Amino acid sequence: MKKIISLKKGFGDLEWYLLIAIPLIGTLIFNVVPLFQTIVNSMSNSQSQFIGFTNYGITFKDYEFKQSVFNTLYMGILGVFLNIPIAFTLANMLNNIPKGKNVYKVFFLLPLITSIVTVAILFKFIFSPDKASIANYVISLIGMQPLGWFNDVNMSRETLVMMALWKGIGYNVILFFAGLQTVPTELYEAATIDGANERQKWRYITIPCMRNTFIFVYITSCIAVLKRFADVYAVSSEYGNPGGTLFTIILYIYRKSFSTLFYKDLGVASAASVVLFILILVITAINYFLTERDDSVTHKRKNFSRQDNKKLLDGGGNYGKQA
Amino acid sequence: MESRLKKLTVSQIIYYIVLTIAAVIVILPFIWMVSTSFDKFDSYELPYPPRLLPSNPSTFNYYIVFNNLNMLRYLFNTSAVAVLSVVLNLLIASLTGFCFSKGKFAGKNILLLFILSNMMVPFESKLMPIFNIVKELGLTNTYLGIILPGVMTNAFFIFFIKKFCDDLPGDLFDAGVIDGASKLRIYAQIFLPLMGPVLATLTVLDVMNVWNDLLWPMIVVNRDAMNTIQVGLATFGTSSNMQRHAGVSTAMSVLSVLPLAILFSFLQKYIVQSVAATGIKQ
Repeated sequence: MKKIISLKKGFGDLEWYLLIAIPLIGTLIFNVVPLFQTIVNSMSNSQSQFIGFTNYGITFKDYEFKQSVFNTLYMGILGVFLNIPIAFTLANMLNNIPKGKNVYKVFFLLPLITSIVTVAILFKFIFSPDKASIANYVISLIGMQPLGWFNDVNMSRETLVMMALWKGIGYNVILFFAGLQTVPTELYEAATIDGANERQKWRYITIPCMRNTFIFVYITSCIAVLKRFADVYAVSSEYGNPGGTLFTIILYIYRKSFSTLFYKDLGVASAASVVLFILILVITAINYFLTERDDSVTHKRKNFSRQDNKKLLDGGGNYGKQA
Repeated sequence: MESRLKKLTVSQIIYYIVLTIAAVIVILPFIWMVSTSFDKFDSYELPYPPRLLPSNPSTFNYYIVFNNLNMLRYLFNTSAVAVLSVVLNLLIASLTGFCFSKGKFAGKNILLLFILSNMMVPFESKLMPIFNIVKELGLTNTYLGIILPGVMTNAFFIFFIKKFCDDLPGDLFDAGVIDGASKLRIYAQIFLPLMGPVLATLTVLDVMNVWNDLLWPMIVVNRDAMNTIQVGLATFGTSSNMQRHAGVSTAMSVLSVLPLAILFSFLQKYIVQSVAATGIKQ
């Protein structure tokens, strides 16, 4: 960026600009303009007159919006804090078994390629409230009464989180598994020589080295749960029933912009969109600063180990000969 | 075999048990789905007690799906959309990624940031304006309308290919320039052939995303004949106000999963790679 832009150079660059024209135009049409439009809409009434922040006031006072924010955060927090520890544990187990890793990987990948709509169809039958569903049959074997699952106001959110966990855990298992492969094995060897036990190795080598993977999985999971739509829609269509417990922010926006059954309000939908955008930005920023702490140390160590690896690789031939 | 078993430590045996339980939990709904789709029962009620093998095996449910529903049409639409999306995405992303990696032009960093801004603004927060733009372009109810907003703003793919090109030696580009090749030719004949593995990874990712996408196709399509499989499935199988027949729903589900499952049984390596290397959520 320090280069001085000269007119002469600009002409030679024209060819480059033509080659990258499509995404530039795309960004303009499908990102800049819509974002601007959304902000303008959020401050206008249905006659496109400027009305300041009135729509935001309406949105924040709307009981359904408050409910959708609460549901989104509740299911999000529950999901993220169940998913990451379980996925990490499974990935560690997968990494430590001598045979059959690929077989298990295929199993964990299956829900990943299955669409959320299909998953919702399956889970709605498996967790249907009558006594013939698999879930209720299983709990009846241990003497429990049939439960309402998705149809019960008090447990629909938890059931949905369970479904999302089933669908999403394989993805994180694979990510963590890939992360575990990058932990330099020489660290473990050194620790073994120093007499560390398995738990200590796990605590002092595996977890610190996996820091970046953790941060990545955590931040992407947070963004994904804030944008929760497809699973709640597939379970309850645009109603968000029972009792609005499956009503999320995007569902609110969708309903206020495209619904055929409910009262539509573009201004409110736009205001909610802007709120969602800011919410994602803020939560990402908070996560970023929370996880940024002593990142410099990790970074140095990572570079160091990388250089070490490179040296080992460069000197690979010699090592081989000595052996 | 026996000696190998003896080598297992106690903790490894526990790992196998836990992983197997997890695998069973994962696979059970699939088994139930396939078995129910081949099971014939007349009522809307689920059979009691639940069974994992069809007691009345028949292909009746599939007969219903193919004859009474637009299933083949949905499958064709989704395949067409997926192919179109992959071709356009790979062409645009590889060309643009190459330009941002090897090109030297004024404002390169700012333009890259401009394109990457797509990743910062969630698609979901600008649904209505994008829909209006697509409508003004006359692209509602078309394949192009389903994919265009995604294809033209795919900052992630561009960034991913740029990263890959950064690791390729700049000498390749200089050699092309010395031989008098145009930029487009250097891209097509030198760099594109080297991108094979990356393009395979991105193809897997893109097919998976397009095949399973629900929100945008649902908005941009309002004619049943243009619906993708997910929209068809969602409108048929999940409306909460009506009771659905389990056999027909599961038969539809099986048909929607099958193409991806077959495709990816051949490309399993690339799925693991695409998840591990890119880690993007659908």
